[in-house]
Amino acid sequence: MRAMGSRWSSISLPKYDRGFYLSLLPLASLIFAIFLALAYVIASASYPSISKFGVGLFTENVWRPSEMGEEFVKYGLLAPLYGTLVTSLLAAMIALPLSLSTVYLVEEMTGSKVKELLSTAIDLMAGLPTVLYGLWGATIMIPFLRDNVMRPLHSALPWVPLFSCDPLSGASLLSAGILLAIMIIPFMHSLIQDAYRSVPWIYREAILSIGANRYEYYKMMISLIKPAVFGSLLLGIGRASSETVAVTLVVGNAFNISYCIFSPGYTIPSLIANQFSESNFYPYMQSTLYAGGMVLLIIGALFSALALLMIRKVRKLYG
Amino acid sequence: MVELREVKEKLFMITSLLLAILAILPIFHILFSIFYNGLPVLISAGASFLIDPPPPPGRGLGGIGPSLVGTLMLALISSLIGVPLSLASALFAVEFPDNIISRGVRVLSKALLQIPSILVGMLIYVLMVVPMGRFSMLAGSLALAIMMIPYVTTYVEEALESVPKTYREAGYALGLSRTKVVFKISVSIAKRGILTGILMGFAKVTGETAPLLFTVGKQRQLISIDPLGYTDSISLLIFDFIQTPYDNWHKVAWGSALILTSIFLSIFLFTRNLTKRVVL
Repeated sequence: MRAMGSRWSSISLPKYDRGFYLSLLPLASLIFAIFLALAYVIASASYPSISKFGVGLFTENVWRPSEMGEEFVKYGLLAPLYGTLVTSLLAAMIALPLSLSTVYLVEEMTGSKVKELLSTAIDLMAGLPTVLYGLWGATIMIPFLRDNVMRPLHSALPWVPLFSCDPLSGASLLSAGILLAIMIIPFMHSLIQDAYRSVPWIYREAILSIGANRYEYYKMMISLIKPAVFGSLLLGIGRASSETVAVTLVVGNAFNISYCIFSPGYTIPSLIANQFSESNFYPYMQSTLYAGGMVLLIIGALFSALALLMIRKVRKLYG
Repeated sequence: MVELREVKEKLFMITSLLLAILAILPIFHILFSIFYNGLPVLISAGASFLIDPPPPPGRGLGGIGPSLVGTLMLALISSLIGVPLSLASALFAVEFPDNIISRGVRVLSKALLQIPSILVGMLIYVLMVVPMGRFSMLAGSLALAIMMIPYVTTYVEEALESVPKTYREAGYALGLSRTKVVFKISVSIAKRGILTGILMGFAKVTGETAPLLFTVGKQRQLISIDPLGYTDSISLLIFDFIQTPYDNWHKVAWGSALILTSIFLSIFLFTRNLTKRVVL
């Protein structure tokens, strides 16, 4: 059917089919409209702040709202951009080894209870409302991390720049990174799993027939789908950088640029979540927030495009 | 040499098992803490927790009635908007796969999944809240519908694609038109998968927070089903209440979390009985 479908372009469709095609067309095209609207709204809403502050909007760390007059106002998004980058990189780096382990157990422990339990847990993780991750993160994970991870590391290794500051409340870049890692595991798991399943049996049999043990087998299998693993890492970073409510509850919400991962920070989405509702009252604040959203959108689009190319490369190789 | 290989293999097995346990431990701890902290609240507040408005800061437990009704209404209206659109775009993409528009629909619905949910809220803020001059349930529903469409579309596409070609060919051989083949054969064979997609979309929007932050107005004192009026959702209530210093509001947040989790878990278990496949 698919081969025939390709020849039936909209012009040469039979009468019955053309009606069907035309009735679905406006609904399906709505998705284009959503994209156009998003691009237009974000671009036009962020234009005033970009034209006023120029490059400084993205390279300086200032947050000086003013109701007095436009000459006093100054905004620079460097701190939230930095926080977004650090937390999502941390998250993806933590989530990658964990996802590789879950993929191995789910794919290679077939028939066992372990597989069943793991895949149920991962499906649950994928669907759980994000605000519940935030609730748990803010009230249970943060005190635990502060007392059992951050304080011991700080007192044992205070000269390491990453651990150089005292974790005051525990809400920090590290907490956000860890919570995000938990949240993107199911996402990265399913991306790696899809690529893993696309490797034909003939390769697996070849690896096993030369006498590889389980470690060598998995290492070779992963090296066969390396671009897809890298792609899922990029998509994981993209997913982590756009998460809002859970991060807002654990990141500390402070305009702060520090090497120390125990210090509180900001991310673009958490900045928007915190400041947007009052941003109407201050000139340029709302526009600045839209500019932040635009950066998020552009980075996300670039990462997704790159990642999908890599994942497609693997699929073409074996598909 | 042989020994080193064996040691490596053992080490690999142990680490991957430990890391996998580490990966799934949080979800069980999250569910456990929600039940552990939320159940006493629900028991002491009683059935009125589902009806009453939230308590004043510092005293009493009250309830989450307006937010609960708001959540259900938002999910309902957004499904009414989102489900037909998702079905149409999935049918379109599956039935006319080699057309430029359907290829676009496929790529864009994948891309829409990646769009930060807070940006959807900001989009609706400009498109609806500002022109109307007020927050509304409808604005929130529209934001949720945008979140839902790519998600449900992906599920439905997968369900429709899993229908074996031979069944459809049999339909054509009987002389059925394409529309008949699609609705009588493809859709009816894939109906479990389609239903799963719709329910997962519903479950997703009941838990969404970010698209509602600047669209619904956080009105949590009066139960209202007016689509143009202000409303609230349980997720927003949790987000706001846990950031306050009041102990009783924290308790309300945990109780609400248990309600939200129960809604999510019941849909999750129901769809799991329908099919076994989950997409993200």
